[in-house]
Amino acid sequence: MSDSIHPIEEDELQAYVDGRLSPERRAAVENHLARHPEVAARIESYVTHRQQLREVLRFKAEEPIPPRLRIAALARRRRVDARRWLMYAASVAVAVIVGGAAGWAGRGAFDGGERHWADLAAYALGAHRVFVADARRPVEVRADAEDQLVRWLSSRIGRPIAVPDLRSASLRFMGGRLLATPDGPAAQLMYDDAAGTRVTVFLQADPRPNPIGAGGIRQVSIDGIGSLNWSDERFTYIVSAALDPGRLDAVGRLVRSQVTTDGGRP
Amino acid sequence: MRDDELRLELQIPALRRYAWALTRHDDDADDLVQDCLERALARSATRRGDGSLRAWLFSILHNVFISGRRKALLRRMQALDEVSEPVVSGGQEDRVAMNEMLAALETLPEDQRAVLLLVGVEDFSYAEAATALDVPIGTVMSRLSRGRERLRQALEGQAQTRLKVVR
Repeated sequence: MSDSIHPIEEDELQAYVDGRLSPERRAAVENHLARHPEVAARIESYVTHRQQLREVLRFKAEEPIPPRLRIAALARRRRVDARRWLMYAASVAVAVIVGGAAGWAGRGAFDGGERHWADLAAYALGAHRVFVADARRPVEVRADAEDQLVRWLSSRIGRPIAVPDLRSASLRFMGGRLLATPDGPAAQLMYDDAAGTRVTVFLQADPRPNPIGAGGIRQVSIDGIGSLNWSDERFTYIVSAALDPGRLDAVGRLVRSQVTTDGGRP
Repeated sequence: MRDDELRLELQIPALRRYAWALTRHDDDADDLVQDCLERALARSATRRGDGSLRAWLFSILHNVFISGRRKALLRRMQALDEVSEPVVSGGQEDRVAMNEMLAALETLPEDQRAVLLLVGVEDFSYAEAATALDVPIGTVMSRLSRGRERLRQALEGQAQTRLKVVR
């Protein structure tokens, strides 16, 4: 009857199992099953197993939500974390203003170059957090005005910059802005993926020598946001995102392969 | 609680069920859900548009599961963790049946298991499942079909074994 016009295929049999067919197609499938008992037996097993699986797992969905998973608790912890982070960032800023070479040398923990890295990482992560959280104006100049953006940033930073193409990492360029750091102007380029995760690439023309040796990459993480830091003879780069280390590493490598003159080999 | 936070909270039981079915471990499952929710809260301002909230949430959960899987496996090999027991309302027979179903599910490759759970238990549409797993709909359908057949064979194999033992 119906199946010569529109034959029953496996996809429809599956949709029958899931109760997702229109009444007409359901009738057609039932007709088909009535005339093919071995198919009917198979499909009936699927229906039975589907129901059994739901029964087996039902207990979990009926459990009360554990306190640690309640949104109110998670949201509260995020606010506490954010406050802690601000205090950390403030303390770094204060250390920069109050410290000075003598103070830090006395602590013995950092030399001037290390402190610079730590400050820059904290700064870039701070800027990352502030701007990725902005729903309406995350970037100053959007990707559709990329040429303008590149000219502007290159001019202010004092060296020509190029926007890395991160599409092979499923990241779409959104745009960028100029940042004012204690050491002068820097660029922040922002990308996002289909899930809404945002990545920033921070660039600053940095005349200081790289304290961990040319090409070395440093990973820093503060409160779930990771960043990769490195520099070449032209720029210091900081790639920041709330990504797991593996994926962040892949994004960082992609940026490096496009910006470093030696091809970015580790 | 804010409106968007409430909508997230309503998804938690289903997220816990899916995470438990994937990990078969009470604590690992809730760790996954917590990780997922923290990321969802962090990204909620940037979530694009009006697509399915739960497809988005479950895709985060699935990604967290994939990236955490190797860690959990290593720990389990070292600590010989037991899988968690399901909670059964009936008697001995019901418990046996439940464990048989879960054991059969375990024989499926992860890809097929995920689709069976999302479509068969979480009532995802095929399009939602495709979004959550980041695959084309055609892939969802073929994994569904193969997964169900594999589950059927695993369960019928268990039944045959039981018959042999009885004889």
